[in-house]
Amino acid sequence: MEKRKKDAQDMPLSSKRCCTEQDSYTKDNINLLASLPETDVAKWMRTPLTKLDIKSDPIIFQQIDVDHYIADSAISDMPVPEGGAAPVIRMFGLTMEGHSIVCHVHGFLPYFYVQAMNGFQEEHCDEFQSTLNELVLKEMRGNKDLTKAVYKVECCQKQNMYGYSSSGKSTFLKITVAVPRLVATTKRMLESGFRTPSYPEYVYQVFESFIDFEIRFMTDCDLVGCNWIELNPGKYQIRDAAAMISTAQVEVDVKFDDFTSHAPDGDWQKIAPLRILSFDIECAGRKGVFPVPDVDPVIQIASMVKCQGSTGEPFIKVIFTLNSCSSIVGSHVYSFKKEENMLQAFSNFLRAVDPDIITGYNIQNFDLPFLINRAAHLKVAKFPYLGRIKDSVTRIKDTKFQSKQMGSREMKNINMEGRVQFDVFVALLREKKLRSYTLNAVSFHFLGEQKEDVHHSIITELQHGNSQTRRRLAVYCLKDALLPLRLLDKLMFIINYMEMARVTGVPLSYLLVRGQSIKVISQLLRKTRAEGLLMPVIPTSNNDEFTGATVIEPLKGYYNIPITTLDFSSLYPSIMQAHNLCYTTLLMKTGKERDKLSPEDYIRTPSGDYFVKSSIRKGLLPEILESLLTARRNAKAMMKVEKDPFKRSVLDGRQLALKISCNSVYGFTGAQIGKLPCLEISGSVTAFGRLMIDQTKQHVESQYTIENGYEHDAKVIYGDTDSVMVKFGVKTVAESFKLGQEAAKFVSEKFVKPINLEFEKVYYPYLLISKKRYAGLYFSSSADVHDKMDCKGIETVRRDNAPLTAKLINTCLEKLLIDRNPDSAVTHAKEVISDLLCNRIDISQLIITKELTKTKEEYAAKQAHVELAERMKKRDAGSAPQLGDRVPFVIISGAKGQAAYLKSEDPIYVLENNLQIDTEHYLKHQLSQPLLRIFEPVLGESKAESVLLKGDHTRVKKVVASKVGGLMAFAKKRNTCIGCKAGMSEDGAVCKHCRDRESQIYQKEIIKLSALEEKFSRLWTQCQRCQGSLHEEVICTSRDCPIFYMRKKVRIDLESQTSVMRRFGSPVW
Amino acid sequence: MESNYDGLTYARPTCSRENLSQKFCKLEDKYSRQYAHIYFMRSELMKNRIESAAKKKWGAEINIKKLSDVVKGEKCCLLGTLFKIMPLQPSILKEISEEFSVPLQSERMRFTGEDDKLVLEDSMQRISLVGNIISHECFTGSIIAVLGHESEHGQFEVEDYTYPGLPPQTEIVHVPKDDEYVLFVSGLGIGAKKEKTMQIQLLIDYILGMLGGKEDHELCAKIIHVIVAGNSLSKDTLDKEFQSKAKYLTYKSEASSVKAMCDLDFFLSQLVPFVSVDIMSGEFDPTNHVLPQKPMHPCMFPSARSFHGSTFHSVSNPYECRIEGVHFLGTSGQNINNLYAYSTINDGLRLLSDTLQLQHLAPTAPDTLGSFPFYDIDPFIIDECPHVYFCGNQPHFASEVKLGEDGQKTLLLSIPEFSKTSCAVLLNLKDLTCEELCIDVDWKEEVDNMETDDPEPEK
Repeated sequence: MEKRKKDAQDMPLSSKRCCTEQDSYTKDNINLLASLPETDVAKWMRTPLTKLDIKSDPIIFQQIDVDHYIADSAISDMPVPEGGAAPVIRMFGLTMEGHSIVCHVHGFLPYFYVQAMNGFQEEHCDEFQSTLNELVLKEMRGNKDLTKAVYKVECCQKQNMYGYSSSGKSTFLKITVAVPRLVATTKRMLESGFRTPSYPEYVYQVFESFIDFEIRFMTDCDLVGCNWIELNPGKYQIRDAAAMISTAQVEVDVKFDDFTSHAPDGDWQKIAPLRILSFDIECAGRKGVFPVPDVDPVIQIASMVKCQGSTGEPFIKVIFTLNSCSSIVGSHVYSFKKEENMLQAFSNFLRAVDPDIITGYNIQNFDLPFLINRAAHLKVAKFPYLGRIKDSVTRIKDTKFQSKQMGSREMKNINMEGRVQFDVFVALLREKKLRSYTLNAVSFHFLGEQKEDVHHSIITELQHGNSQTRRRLAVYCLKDALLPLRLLDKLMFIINYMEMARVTGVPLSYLLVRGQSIKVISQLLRKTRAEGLLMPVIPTSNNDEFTGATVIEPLKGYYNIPITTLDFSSLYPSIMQAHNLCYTTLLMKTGKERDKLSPEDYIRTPSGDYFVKSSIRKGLLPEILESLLTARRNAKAMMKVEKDPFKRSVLDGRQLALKISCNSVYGFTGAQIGKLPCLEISGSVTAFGRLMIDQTKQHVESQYTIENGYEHDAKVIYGDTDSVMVKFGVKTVAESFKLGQEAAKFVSEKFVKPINLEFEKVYYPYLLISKKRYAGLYFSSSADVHDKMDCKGIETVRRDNAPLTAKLINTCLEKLLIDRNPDSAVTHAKEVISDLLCNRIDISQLIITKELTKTKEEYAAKQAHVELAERMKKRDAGSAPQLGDRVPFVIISGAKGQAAYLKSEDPIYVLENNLQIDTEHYLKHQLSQPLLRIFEPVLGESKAESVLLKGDHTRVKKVVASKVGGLMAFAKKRNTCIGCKAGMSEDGAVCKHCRDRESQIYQKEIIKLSALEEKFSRLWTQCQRCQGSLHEEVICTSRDCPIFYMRKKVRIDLESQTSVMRRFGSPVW
Repeated sequence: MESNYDGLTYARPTCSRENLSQKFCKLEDKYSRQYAHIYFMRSELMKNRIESAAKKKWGAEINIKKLSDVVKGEKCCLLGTLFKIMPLQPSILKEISEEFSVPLQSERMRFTGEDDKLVLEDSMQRISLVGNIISHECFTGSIIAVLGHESEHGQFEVEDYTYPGLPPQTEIVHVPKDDEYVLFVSGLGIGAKKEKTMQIQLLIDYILGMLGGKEDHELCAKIIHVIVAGNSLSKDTLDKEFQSKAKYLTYKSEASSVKAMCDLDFFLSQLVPFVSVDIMSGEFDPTNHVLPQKPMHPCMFPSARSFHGSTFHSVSNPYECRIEGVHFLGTSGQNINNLYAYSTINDGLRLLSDTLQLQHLAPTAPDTLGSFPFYDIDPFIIDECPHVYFCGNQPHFASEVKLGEDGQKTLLLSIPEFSKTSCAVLLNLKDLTCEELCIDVDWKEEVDNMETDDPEPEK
């Protein structure tokens, strides 16, 4: 269940009429279950495994997740844990036939490196090991299980990756420890000064201690995320049922160097038929309180299961309900008398289905924690075993996640070994920029369909009704379970994420819970390992601010001629490649390496850093980038010839993953809180970028001149991070296409390969407002038809703007750019302003939404939405917004000079009480600035304001008489003539002076009525269609839906218009 | 009520008329309700009718089930309301949604498509229908019975289906001995950019006996009643922009229908002293929008209103009445035109006949056809089979006699749109035959020539 917004007022009580049918359904009550029928459980299980011959049959499976555990006893034939405990890697996988497998990999141990002291003798390794071992064991006092902590110290010839060094490799010590958690302890010992009998105290520089154990294993054994593993006959042992620790169908033991890992190419690109289970729960909350697991029961759990790659409907659709529920076509309903039984049944169901991936909407932070806590509260002891490991209790851990890309976010970490939790909500937050992330809004955006949004309080009411009302809830709950599956399919999340895991080499689950840097580290590690390089541990620092990419000052204006855009394709990666920028080529400012080189061997970057040229040493990052780009080119080429749509989508996912990885390399070097920040690289990259934009400008402006035989002098009117906008002066798009291609080629030749300037698009016309703010018609595929209207940085998706702003600006831009009709754009803007001042704008267009993240006390300044939440709480605690809710509000007119934050009001309250919207506020604070911005380049600065914000259209205003507040209580209503608004003492519609015009006046009013009626019928039937039922009343309260306020408003308007019509007398003769 | 020409006097018989449309007029203006109640009432009221139709067709022992009791694979009969899921139909949600602000919805006239799905809904739930039922020839909101079984995929495999069939009919008590005509005209289209003012005036003159020869006079004297079946005003008088235009531009202007309404009043005021006239509201007339439409308000007929109650009646749409004992039921055409837009059936008479079989005037109301949110009635249910079942504003004239299994006999009548065809329809009450009456103006001869077509044989 996603969080729902509260408002209890608009809800018609659910279809009471249908309840009359209850009697015939009472029989359901007899059929309440205590547990799941065995036959059904058997149906859900995976197909049984055929007998395996371990002598001749290989086992081939796709590993989905990799983790490790600490074993204290050995399995026969497998390496013995020497020091009392040893890590065992566990691979969870699936065969092509859909059998689940757990593979225990033995013998792989964690290690890291330190740089040896000068003059370290190899024969002292043992001494080093035993001294360190003792020290660590002493540090680990109280941990009796371990008898040996440091296993081995070996000398090896490696090189520090960071900084160029001409001296080549030197001696490093590889330190192998017993279990992964000892890496940090041992590292600390070495870093804080460590002495051995033969060597004095020395602060060792540590390398690669930050590598996750699983990543280390995967790198050393050539595994990438979700690739295929082949266990050769004779090399593996199958566990018998008694020794199995998991619920998988097969469990095997294997040595870490005794299996084959297939690179995900060719036939090995395939994806096993993963079982994906989606679920949603409903809770019966109390009025005004967000459900908490200690008090509020779970009343329904819906679940759908499908296989990755299968099209069509899920093959399992079930719903577990508390209390009876009428049957639902196509779904299995299991009704339970006790909540405990239902929770247990769901847990059993989940284990029977044995899904590889668990999905849902906001399950990670709501549904799963709620279920687990609720089960704990009700003491359902056998509930929290949701993973594949039999005796592993599923627990909730609060974690904080920080990333530059997403900011910091609190998350709940729930362990479910062997199942990947793929929360669609979390994935969307990561991947897509949206105005709203409610399931409703997201479904509408991606699937083009709305869903009902049922308010908490209604949920409780439906639960307390009869089996029919609970059925209604169940249908709703099922839909919520189905939508995440459909979103997964539509957005191809599974395929794309799997390809990302394969490209970057990390397990699938890392992609959702870890940041960007782990992906780069994994790729980097694979490269450094091959080259004998080591990554140093760099203490995090927070100095050095970062200069972003500057831009060529825009020449603002409305360009009614084609503007050609030249783009550097993958600018930052190609700069790194062209100039050989890498950790390994960096000439440290403090070092002496530069003195040893001749000036031809290195370059000075525009930011003042030095890097050796590739002739001396080829950088690693450029190599990684090159292989990524080559891989991307290959994937794209293969995509073109691939006929099979499924394989094509895999390839598309791959090229996308490659592109993203490419761009994240640059970010990695600039991430100051990352593992390997290198501001020399990132600073140089941006400095080169700036330089190249400037050079491009010069090249273009000096080449394309009248002097050189061109028709016009070219002018660069704007340049940003990786693109320049050129005005060639030509009149047609076709000509500018030609010049653009020519110029791109001409300029590209001036730069070092592989930096490439590409001609991509032409804007015609083009409206340049300011830095990062522009709009234009986008021509790219054809010179005759535009592809789209492209707007950058203009009030479009910002949430703290009212939708009216975005809509108005968008329409004005369309009129300016597509119709090229500034006059009609101005007229439109004026009309909207007039509509606003006359209260004719739909209230949903004026709603501003803000999230209530803190309580009133925590906010420093007074804020509109916080004040409103307080006031609503006083009015009706039940419907007031809770912490974490998004609060929608409008600004109403208050007393003169009243602070804006006091003038916020709940839109529903405004509609019901006919409150006056502060239209001036909207004009002044929402519309005027964005409007002036887009019209100033067209009309000129002074004119824009006088035309748009002053004049006739601002003079007609309509003010409504509100039902509450102020002096309204003392006001007395008087009849006025509908025609001339004069006061009337007699009844009727019009005064005696207007009687002759009664027909005209009537017609004007009846038009209003019929327009309202039409709107009424269209809105309400739309809601019926959306909810998927004709016989039940609409109870949806989705505030994201544009219809929600409209249908409320149209009712109110109709009531008042019919009362106007009634004054004319009945039309029936 | 006589016309005098050539020294001959023809007396126009008076007309006995009884308005049966009360159920279309009694509306408490309550919009706080939702549409679920109409569907509920519809299925409740039709339950017995559809059940007996099903038993009649498939035998009394037929296994009639509620949807929630259906067992997979078991043959049974379901009763319920049809609903068509039509991706192409216009959606107000898409229109107003900012994400689809670009008009993706093409301007189409008909909305059927290949992805249409058919579902049957009883008061509890719905099931999708496949098999022997063509969604393009069914209508949302119809009450039907289907025979078949639920398939593996949870769909219902239809073998056969049935409508309730024609409702019962009472016989005409006193069949007129002489020819007596009722004249139907619809879609006068006053106020159109190409208004047929001349033709309208000629039609009036003809009715009043001021045109034609002796035979014409004889005939027109027998026109005892005129029914104007909607759209007296043209669509052009509905200025859609008037609503959307900013107020500062329109607050002084008047409704665009004012002039047209004056003209209509003028035309009517010529007729009503001599022949009784019922004027029905229609889609483009100045009255409320949704069905049932209320009569046009008397204040808009300053001249004709003095005859109101005697020979001039502004009536509702749909309209039901008894004239000389003959039972009339009909609409101004929205119901049939809406069915046309949401099906692939081209024949207007077929649509008329289907609605009669469904015992429902407007099955698509309220879904795609605007309707008032009724609470405890569904006024569109046809309880009694009319003798004449008509529908205005059709592309051309057509008529057909529909015979029911229980001896019902109904004349189905499509009344052409006058503004397009310049034709009206004459119905003879004696034998319920009808003929088309067309006004043809030939400007070249500079003579206003009028002729009547030969009566068309019954089809």
